[in-house]
Amino acid sequence: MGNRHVAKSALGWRGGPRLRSFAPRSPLLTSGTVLLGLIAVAVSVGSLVFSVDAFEFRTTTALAPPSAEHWFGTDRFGRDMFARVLEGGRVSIGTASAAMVAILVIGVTLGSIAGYAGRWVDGVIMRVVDVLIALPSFIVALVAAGLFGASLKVVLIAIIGLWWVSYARITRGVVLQAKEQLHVVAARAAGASPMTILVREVLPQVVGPVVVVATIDVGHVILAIAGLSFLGVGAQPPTPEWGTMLSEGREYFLSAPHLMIFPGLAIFLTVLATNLLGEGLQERLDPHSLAGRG
Amino acid sequence: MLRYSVRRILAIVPISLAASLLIFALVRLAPADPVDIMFSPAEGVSLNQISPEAKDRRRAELGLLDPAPVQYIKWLGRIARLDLGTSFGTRAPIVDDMARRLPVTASLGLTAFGVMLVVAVPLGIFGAVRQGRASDHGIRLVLLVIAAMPSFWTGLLLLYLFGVKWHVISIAGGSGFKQLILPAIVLGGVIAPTVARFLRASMISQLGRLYVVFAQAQGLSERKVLWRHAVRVAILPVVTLFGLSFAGLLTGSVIVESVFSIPGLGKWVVDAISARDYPAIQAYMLFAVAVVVLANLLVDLSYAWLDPRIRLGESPRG
Amino acid sequence: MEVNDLHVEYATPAGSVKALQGVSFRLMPGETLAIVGESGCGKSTLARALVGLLQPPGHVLSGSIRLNGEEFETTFSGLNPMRGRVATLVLQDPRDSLNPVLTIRAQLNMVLAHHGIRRNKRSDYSIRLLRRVHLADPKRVLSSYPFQLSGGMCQRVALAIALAGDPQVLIADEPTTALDVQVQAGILRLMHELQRERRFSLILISHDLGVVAGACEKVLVLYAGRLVEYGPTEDVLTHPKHPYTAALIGCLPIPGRGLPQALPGLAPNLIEPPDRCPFIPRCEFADDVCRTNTHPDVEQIDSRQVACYHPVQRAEVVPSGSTLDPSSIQPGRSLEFDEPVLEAIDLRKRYRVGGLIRGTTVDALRKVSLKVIHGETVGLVGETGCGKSTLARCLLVLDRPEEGTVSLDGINLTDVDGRTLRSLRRRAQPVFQDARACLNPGRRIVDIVQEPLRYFRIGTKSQRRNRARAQLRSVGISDELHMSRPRALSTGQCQKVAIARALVTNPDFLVCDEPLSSLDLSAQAQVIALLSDLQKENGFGMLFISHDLAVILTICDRVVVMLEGRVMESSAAADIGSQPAHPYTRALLQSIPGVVTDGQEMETTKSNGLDRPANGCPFAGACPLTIERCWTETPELHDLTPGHSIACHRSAELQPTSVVWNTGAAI
Repeated sequence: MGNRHVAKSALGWRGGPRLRSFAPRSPLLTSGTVLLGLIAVAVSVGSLVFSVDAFEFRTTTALAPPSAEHWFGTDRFGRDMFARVLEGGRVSIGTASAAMVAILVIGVTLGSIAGYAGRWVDGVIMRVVDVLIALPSFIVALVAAGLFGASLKVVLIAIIGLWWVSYARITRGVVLQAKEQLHVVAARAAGASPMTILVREVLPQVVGPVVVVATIDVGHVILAIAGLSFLGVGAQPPTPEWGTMLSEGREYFLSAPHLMIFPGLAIFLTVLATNLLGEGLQERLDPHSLAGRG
Repeated sequence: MLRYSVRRILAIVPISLAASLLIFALVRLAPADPVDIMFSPAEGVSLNQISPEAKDRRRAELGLLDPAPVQYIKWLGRIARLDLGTSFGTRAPIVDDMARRLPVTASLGLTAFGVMLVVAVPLGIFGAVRQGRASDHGIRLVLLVIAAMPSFWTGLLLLYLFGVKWHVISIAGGSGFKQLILPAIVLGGVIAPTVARFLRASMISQLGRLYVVFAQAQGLSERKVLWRHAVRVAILPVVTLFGLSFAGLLTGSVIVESVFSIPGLGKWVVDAISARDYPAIQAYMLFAVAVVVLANLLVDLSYAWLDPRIRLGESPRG
Repeated sequence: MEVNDLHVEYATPAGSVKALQGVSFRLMPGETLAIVGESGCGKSTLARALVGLLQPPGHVLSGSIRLNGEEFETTFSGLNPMRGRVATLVLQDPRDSLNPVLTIRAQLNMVLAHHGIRRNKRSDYSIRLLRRVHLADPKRVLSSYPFQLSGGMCQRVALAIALAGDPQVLIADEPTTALDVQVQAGILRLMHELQRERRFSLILISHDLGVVAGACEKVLVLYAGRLVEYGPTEDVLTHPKHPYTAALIGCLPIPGRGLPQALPGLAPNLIEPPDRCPFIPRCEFADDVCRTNTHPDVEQIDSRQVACYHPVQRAEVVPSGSTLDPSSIQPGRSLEFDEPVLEAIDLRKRYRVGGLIRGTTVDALRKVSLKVIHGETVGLVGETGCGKSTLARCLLVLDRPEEGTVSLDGINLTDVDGRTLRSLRRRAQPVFQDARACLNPGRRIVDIVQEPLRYFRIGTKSQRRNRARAQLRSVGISDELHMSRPRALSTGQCQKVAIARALVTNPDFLVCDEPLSSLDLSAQAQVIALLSDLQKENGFGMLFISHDLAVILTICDRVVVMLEGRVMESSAAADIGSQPAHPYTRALLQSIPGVVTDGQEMETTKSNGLDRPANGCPFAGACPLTIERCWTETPELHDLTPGHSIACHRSAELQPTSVVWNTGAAI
């Protein structure tokens, strides 16, 4: 009976409705956006502006340390590492984003079908989810690459095939919750059709949480793909993928540490940017619950 | 509680069956012919020197000519007897290989879990108590940074510093305690940020509850209210995250073991993959799924046992 | 205890919110002081400030707090000793006041240890405390967790914990808000009993004037963080001097007094308020003296203190209590149609509650029949969990009843297809309890109101907008708010928007499910007046669901009393209010503060409501007239007199009761 009302009056001033909009500007959101923006610009237009070819062999300057000419040094074939890191970014960020889109499409669709249809449809989808959740995606991708041959394609299929599950769960949760919300019930009572309710009242609520988690998850997908490539089962040389480059650089670990420092730094900064952005978005959307994934 | 436990334990049966079916199908779908691989490195002869009849004989021996369902059932039967086949590479029973390496991975995982607890629990609680202040923002930033560091990169960097520059550890690897510390720190760092952030959020929601104010209003000290009231409630849901942590540890152990050359299961499976040792790959996959399923089971049961609301069955009217 | 000129502010990014400005009062040993006001007036802030537990960013700006002449620093640590001697009860939500994962024993022991009770004595001490608050089986309670106890029991446990330190002052913050009326009455009785015995002073914080009237010696009225009136309860409530107090009393629904007098407008924003009387915009006496001068000082007038330049002079605002004249409740309206707009026959509904693991089914409705005639208002009253909200949803077929039929103007809604049902929905609309939650937070309110027209493809976009705007104006939402979103509105305004949306399709029937219980007293009166005006204008039939019998009797033509999914009594409002027949109805009436019934003694034995037979009268466990048959056989609803039906085995032996509404005298 009126608990909501009571809780509000307990905090006194929070009853004032206008205060919410004065949430402080989020430094997380700003720094995340700036960092990710810089990386995106560097990666997408960097190789156009920067004239050195990422694939050009120049054995004379192999394994050169960072210098004015080669900012990040050169690898064992004398290829410019700065150009390769930029080029690798296109592969890493590009594949991770593409994978994320596929994951979202599958996950959100199946999740909203399960949540909205309920009954046996929900039952079937959720049983599939229960099984797939028991399969650790990184390990499955590793094993799949072992069985089907190491390639970025195999790894991506495995990651997409298992990763959608968590989005189906999130979406279903939000949809189930939304179905019970009073303003959704009110829309039903006012004569809205099921499709109208789904599109106009329910799905808009899915966007927030899904975008937050997806932003952070792009970073996780980048990490997973790079990790698999590092183990030699993802992108294959000579594709300049960050993980692959690290794996190549590992052989010259003693003599040329710059080969592992820069690709790793690139991964780290990109993932950090998505983390900052994701956490900032979460703060903005729902300042009172900063629950992690789970 | 008993009924719940029984139901929860029974629930893993269909999940395990479905997962095993998936693994079985994955192996069957693999393009390469296991017999070809078995012959090629071991017999030291080229493939076309072996007669097709010999290959078929070998297939029949392996049961590869049976209809798929029969193969599956037989395969399940073998798994039940812990017969995971023979490694193509070492020619030894895979179970023995794994049993030798399991303790290494297990001690690495447990140490990492300890590292995670030592890092995540204080940071989570402290962040919540100082919510919104500079120290809280600092902690959150540190956690975001740790979460963004690729474990293979941090591993390599630490190895470079401690192995090459300072000669504290051997870069050739090994499984001694000293060799395990750094990998455990890296691995712990993989799972710590999630747990810390979850604990912080859980604590914050508890600190806003009326019982905290009520307890303070009775004159109890801040510290007592924090540790004996709020933390007790806030820590419970964190247990549910440990299942996820186990999957993270498993994944991380593959990477960390290969970076630090630790002779554990993770390194073993990476080697098996480059050697196309199918039975070994399959066995590792089974192992991984079993660990995740059992960890989740354990987590659910212990959560139900720890939380009186579930243990004693919350009255539906509540 | 003495509080002098207390100022509290919350420093927010939007500016500092002056939650309390210059509040002073003195509390004598053994005295009971009520602090009343609407939400946001600062009463909870005051309670927390007294024990130094303000939520950041709140802090005390100035002022002093003394206990027995000893002054304390007004900070968390400064008030540390205060928290030992002054116990605060935060009872708004009794379950939430206790730690959910610790046993009652552990929680009591922790507090006892703090008060220096030795380990081996704690168990005895605990049991004694729990006995003292009338908990039947203290040993069992000690080893229970809060979720295993009912709300009322949790309340008693919290009271026991607060008493452990033998406090000199007990502060109870909204102790009755979250509870059913009968449980609430029990808790209030207990607090008074304990107070007499232990001689502590009591500060009772409440929004409910009825609770205050019967329980307290003095009352302090807060408005917008300022003390407006402070004095002996009886004087303040019968001869209010401050216009706000008078208006607040006028907002009370008192059966027989006609509709409550709505207080227009909203409470002011407290961010950096000007130093003027905050009540000016809503005050009928405000003039240039008020507008040009700073906030009026608190002055002693007769027996009390008032902060106003124009204290009310009228001798008496409300008539003193009397026996309720049946004809004064609602003139038995001569209704043009006798045809029911909505009729429900033998509805049954079961719910599965709890998870798959240990779920059970609960019968929410067991053969409920109901009829609402065109233009009529039927009140449905019952406690939490009696099935009234389920009934509301079933009547609109938002939930499908398992058995029984619902017909709207003769069309059976339970067996039409989905499309037809949707097209019929425009003729029967709901208004819900939680006004804010039933508006989509992302939409502008004019769009929210025109949405139903869109669903039925009525008019063009601009026609729909105009219609929506007109409807919003008719509920008193002015034009400048039409393009804002729900969060910019007060809860009362949200409820008006919800009403506008419900009425935009010109329905024949409206279900109002507890439409007032999330609202403040002044907003309640506004909504009541609004609904009654709109009904006169549009002639829709209305089912008005509430837990508050006083409200129901104020506005309804007929009343249906429900308990545990069954109808117990149904009659004209005048009958229910003046000569209730069913023992349960009488018990409900008695639990309204200030109401006295005479006739058969109706003191109920209800303790925690656990004794409810599966096959029998749901009231058997608490009814003073229970006989063997009540436990084994469900009483059928039958006519006592034409139009007055009752479900009771002993209806023939019931003696006539008369009800005296003393609420008027006290208030």
